[in-house]
Amino acid sequence: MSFKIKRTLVTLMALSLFSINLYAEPDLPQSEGDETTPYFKVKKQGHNETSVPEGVSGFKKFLNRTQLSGYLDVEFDSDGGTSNASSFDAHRFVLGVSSQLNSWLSMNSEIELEHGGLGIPNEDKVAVEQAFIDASLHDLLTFRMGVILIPMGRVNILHDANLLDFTARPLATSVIVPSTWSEVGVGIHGFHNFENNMAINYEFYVTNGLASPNGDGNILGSTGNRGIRNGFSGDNNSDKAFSGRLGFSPLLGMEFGVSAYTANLSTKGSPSNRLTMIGGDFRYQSKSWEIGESNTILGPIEVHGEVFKTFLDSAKTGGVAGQFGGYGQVNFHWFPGAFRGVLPGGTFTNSFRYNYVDTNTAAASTDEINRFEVGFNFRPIEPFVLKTEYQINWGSSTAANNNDRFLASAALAF
Amino acid sequence: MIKKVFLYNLFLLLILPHQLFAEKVYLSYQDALKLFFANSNEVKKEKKVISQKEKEDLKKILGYEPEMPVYNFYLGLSGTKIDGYAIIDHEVGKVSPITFITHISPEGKILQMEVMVYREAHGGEVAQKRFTAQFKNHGYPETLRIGSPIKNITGATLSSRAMVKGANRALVLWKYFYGKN
Repeated sequence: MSFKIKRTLVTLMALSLFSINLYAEPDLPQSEGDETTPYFKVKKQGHNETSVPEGVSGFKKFLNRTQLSGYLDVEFDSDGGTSNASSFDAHRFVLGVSSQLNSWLSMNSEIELEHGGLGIPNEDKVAVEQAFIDASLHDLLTFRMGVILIPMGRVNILHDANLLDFTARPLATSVIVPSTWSEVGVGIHGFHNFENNMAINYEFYVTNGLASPNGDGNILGSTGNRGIRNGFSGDNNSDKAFSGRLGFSPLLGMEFGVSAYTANLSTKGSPSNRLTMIGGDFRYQSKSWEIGESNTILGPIEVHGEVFKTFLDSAKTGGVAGQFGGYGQVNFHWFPGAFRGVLPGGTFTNSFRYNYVDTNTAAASTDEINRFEVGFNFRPIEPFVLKTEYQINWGSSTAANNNDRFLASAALAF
Repeated sequence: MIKKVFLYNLFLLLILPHQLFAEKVYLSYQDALKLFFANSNEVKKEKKVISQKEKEDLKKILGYEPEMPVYNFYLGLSGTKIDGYAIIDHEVGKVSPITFITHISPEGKILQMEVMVYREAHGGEVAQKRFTAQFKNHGYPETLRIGSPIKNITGATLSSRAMVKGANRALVLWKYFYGKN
C-alpha cells in the first residue's frame, strides 16, 4: 500500500473519530422497559415512558388494534314529516371501525343506519359509507382502495354531524354533490408540508362512477344527483370515473381547494352521457380573543364556502343543461367567562349561511333554490353539540317555496 | 421458484408480528431526549410521585385531577446548570391516548413539543411540524387555548384539543415542581 493511500486512510479515520466527538450524546437515564415494546406487553411488564398507565382514560380501548367509534344525531324538523308535519327523525347512527395495523397499513370504515335502519318505513337505509385500506409509502404517496369518499369539496369528506355547525348540510352538498357520496375504486392521496408552514395535499381516485337509474344517462332534474349514486357491487359501464382534489394551505387555518369529477352515466350499450363536475372550496379560521377580566372568549371566526358547476352531455339533446350551486358560511364561536369554570371546553356558536342551487341551468329554469340559514349551537364538550337553526327558502323551484322551517338536533361523536 | 416462495414467506413472517400493534411511533424515548438535550452533558430523570395533597393542589390549578400517579421529568444538565426540562405525558384524542413530549426552558416556555406515539386512524396531522411549531415560546403564565395561540386542524379538533390540554398540563406541572422560585 502506497504512503499516499495510507495517509488518506489515517486522515479519514481521524476525521471520522473527530466527527463522532462533535456529536457526542448526553448520558441518558435508563428507561424503565423497552420503549419499542408493544403496549399490552408493557402492561404486563411494568411502566414504560411511552406507554400509558392504566389511570389514563381510554386505556382499555387501545389494548386492541381495532377501534370502534362513531356518531349519531337525532333531529327535529318543523316541516319534515308527512304532509309537512313537524317530526323527530333518528337521522343517522354511524358506527366506525378503524385499525392502524402498523406504521404504513391502516383501514377505516363507517356503516350508517339512517332513519332507524333496515325495515323501518320511509327512507330506511343501512349502508357502508366508507370502507378502505390505506397503504402509505410516504407522506406524499398513500394508496387507497375500497369504498372511498369522493373528494368533491370538503363537506363530503368531513361530514360527521358533530363537526358541522348546522343540522342541515349545505344545499349544494346535498343536491349537486350528493353527500355522503362514496364510490368503490382505487387511488392515491398524500400531503407535503413546506418549511415555511405552507402545505399541499391531494387525492386522486378511479372509481365505478355515478349511474343514471333508467340507464339512458338522464339525471333527475330538480331533485339533483342524489338518485344517481351507484352501488358498490358493480359498474353500469366500462368507463371509469376519475375524481380528484388539490388543496393548498398557505398557513395553518386557511385552505383553498379545487376538485374535479367526470363519469359516464349511461349503461353499457347506450349512447354516452358524460357528467363532469368541477368545484372550489375555501376555509379560514381566525385566532380567538380573551376579553379582559371576564375571561370571555370571542372567536375563532370561521369563514368557509364551496362552489360547484356541472356539465352534462344531455344538454345537447334537450336534457338538463347543467347545474350550479354553492354556499358561504360564517361561524362565530364564543363562550362567557362565567361558564368556563364549569365547562372549560364549552363553546357557543352563531352561524349564518347563504345557499344557492340551480339543478338545471337552462334559460327558463324553474329549478333555482335560495336558502338563508341562521343558527345557534352549544358544545358543552367538543364531541357533543346541541343545534338550532331557522331556514328561509325562496326561488323559482316549487320545492323552494312554503318550506321555511325550524330545525334542531343533538349530535354526539363517541 | 421454490426458493423465491420460501423467501417471500420468510419475509411475511418477519413483517407480520409488527402488524399486531396499532400505533404510529414518530419519536422514540431515546431519540426525543437526544433531540432536546443534544448540547447537554447529562440527562437526569426525576420521578414525581403525586401525593394526595399535590393532587388537590394541581386540581385547583388545572380544574381536574391529573390522572397519572407518577410524572417523570427529564433535566438536561451541563454541570450544575439546568439547560431545560422535558416531560412525557399522554392525553386521549378521540378514543386513544396520544403520547407526547414537551421540552420546557428554565424560564418556563415551551421550546418544542413532539408527538411520540399516535394511536388513532384520524387526526395524525397533529404530529406535523406546522401544528407542533405553534407551541414554541408560549408558556407560563399563559394558558394555551384552541384559537389563541393554537389553531386547530380541521377534522382533527379532538386531537388538537388533546395536545393543547397536554401542553397546559406540562406547564402547570413544571411550574408546580420547578418554577416556584
